[in-house]
Amino acid sequence: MSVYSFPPSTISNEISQEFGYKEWMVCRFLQFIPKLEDCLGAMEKEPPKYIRINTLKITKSELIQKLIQKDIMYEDTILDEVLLIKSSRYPIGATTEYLRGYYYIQDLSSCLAVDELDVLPNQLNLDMASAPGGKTTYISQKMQNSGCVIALEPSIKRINALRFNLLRCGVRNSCIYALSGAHAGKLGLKFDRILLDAPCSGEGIIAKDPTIKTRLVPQQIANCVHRQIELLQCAINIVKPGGLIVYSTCTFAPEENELVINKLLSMNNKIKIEPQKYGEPGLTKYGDLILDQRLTNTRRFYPHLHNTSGFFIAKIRVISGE
Amino acid sequence: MLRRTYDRLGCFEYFEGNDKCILIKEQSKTKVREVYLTSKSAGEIALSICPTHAGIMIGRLGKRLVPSLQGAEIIYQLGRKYPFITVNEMGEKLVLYGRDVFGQSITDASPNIKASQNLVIINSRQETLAIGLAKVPSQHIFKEGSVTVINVLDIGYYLRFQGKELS
Repeated sequence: MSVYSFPPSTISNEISQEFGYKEWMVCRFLQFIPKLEDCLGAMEKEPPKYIRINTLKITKSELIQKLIQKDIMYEDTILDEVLLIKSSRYPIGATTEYLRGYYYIQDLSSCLAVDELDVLPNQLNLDMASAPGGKTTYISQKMQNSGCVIALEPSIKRINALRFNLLRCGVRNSCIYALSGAHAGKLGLKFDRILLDAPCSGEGIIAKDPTIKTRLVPQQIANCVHRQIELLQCAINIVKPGGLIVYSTCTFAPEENELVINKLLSMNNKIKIEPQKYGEPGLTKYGDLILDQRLTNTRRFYPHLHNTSGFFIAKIRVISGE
Repeated sequence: MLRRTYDRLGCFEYFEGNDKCILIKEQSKTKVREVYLTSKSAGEIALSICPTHAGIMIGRLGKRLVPSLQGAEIIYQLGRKYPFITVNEMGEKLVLYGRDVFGQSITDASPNIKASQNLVIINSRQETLAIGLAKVPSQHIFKEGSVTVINVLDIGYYLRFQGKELS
């Protein structure tokens, strides 16, 4: 799949100079990011800090008491288990409460992806790209430590991080396999729910890694797309009829988001895109390209509109054969 | 052996309860047997498709069960029959930085701790911070100016070791 490019303009030149991006990126962003300067401005600031309460170990009211005792100021969010940290005297990742697994530092958009997965206790679920374990631990939490969540991660080093987080959060319904998500079929299992938080170009997390502004090249986007299509097709093949797949990325690139879903819709007649509660509707037009109208059910998240990292979520139901 | 251990430690009902499974994995190189606590479903899958890790590793099985940090925490929280020391706020900070425990940091301790005995290190809120090894018996454990409990493994270890596997 090719990466679309758009001609430079006076505006793209000005914006790229102001915010330090390569101009080809800005030319693309102008096609689909609303109020682009506000978005890029939001990514110049420190990203908001969210924590997800780990209800396997503590209740919301108990954790709030502990936060208050430590003078940590917070706000509720659209998800009951996720708090926005407004101020803290201590680094939020070094408190006893963090080390004890009472909460996980996790962006709201990541939590929304798991929330859309509609996980239930006693299911058999899969996290195809699990490390470092934020979404896996949230899945386990929603399953109340019952059933089984299979966590895949091909990198041994990242497995150590994953294992630590699962232990820290008290997750006992997990099995970790040193396996790429593309080879998940080798397990011979069919899953109720699959989460695919796909490796991507990371445009949506430039606030955490500003080097992406200048080091990203179009070929990296193309490489990601190839991998994402392979992973998502694998997920469709191993989900139970009637099961649910959530595909998510932390990039703005339509090639890695709507166009991947568009491709899979054309390859599979047994899937449908389900609506979601939050976010901006996905793109159905990109440059001169007209996309499947069903993509309006996918969702985009922008830093300046939603106070999250840039994110994309597609909720895919595999239609039952009956 | 495991069941006798649970019974002795007062946590039999927990480990034998519904939706729990105990797995034992023998490491091929070292012959060390690791004990894992999983959900029933995860245990069934792990038995049919051997994973890299499953559930929570609660200890190592030799002549007796030597609890891991997570295993000791479960046992202490449930049975309260596991030896413990309670540290003050300063002691808590030092333990979380990987430091050993001085006698003056200890505010409470089990009455019958023996030298070289494993124990859990907890804070004033009864939260497990580490597993430790007593250098001295109970009657000397509060001795000021001396390290009386060695910090074997604390909950801050990962942040310090940046994810490297610990032996």
